[in-house]
Amino acid sequence: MTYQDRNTVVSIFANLAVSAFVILRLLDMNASGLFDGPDAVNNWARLVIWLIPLGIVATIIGTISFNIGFAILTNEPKPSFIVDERDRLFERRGSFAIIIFAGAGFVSAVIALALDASALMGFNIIYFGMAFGSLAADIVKFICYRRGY
Amino acid sequence: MGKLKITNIIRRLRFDADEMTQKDLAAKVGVTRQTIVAIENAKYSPTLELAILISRVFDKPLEEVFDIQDAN
Repeated sequence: MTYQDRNTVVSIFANLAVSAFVILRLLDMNASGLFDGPDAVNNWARLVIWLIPLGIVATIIGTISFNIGFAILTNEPKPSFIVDERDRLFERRGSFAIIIFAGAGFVSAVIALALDASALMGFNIIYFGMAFGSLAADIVKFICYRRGY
Repeated sequence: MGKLKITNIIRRLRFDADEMTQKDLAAKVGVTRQTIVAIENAKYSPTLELAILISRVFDKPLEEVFDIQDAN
């Protein structure tokens, strides 16, 4: 398992964990009535702004833990941290998935807003388009690494 | 022209070079062992830069190490 392959696995779990946290938090905030008043979008933004450092920290902790665990399990005291041209090719393939999902999310949000959906709904569609795009990118990379090409 | 595939004789060249390991070759050209495995199995076509580096390790011309064939 290469360094980038390991990072991809960590990123999949970090993405899933952050997305699960967001969904639970959004449901909780909705139940608390935080999305009912005129401050709905502001409250949503205050949640999302915390997700950026949260996602970064989750990925860093996950990467360190996974690499330590991998080194112990494989009995490899000096695991490789090389990133080569094949990793960059898979990265580009993954980026394509992000563009598709983020683009689809944006277009869906515009359509939803045109059909009188709330601004909050529009923001949520855009956010989850990007979140699922990031997850899809990691899954594409994971599949590329498993297939070997 | 159908789909083309880059084939190579790296495995044999490694064997001839005192049974050089994939890991050793990977270290010499600065890629992961998995990339060498993928190239040897013709699952991944290396960039021209990497192909030249690999050829130089074995002191062979590029066209002797790599070939292009119809995938079908």
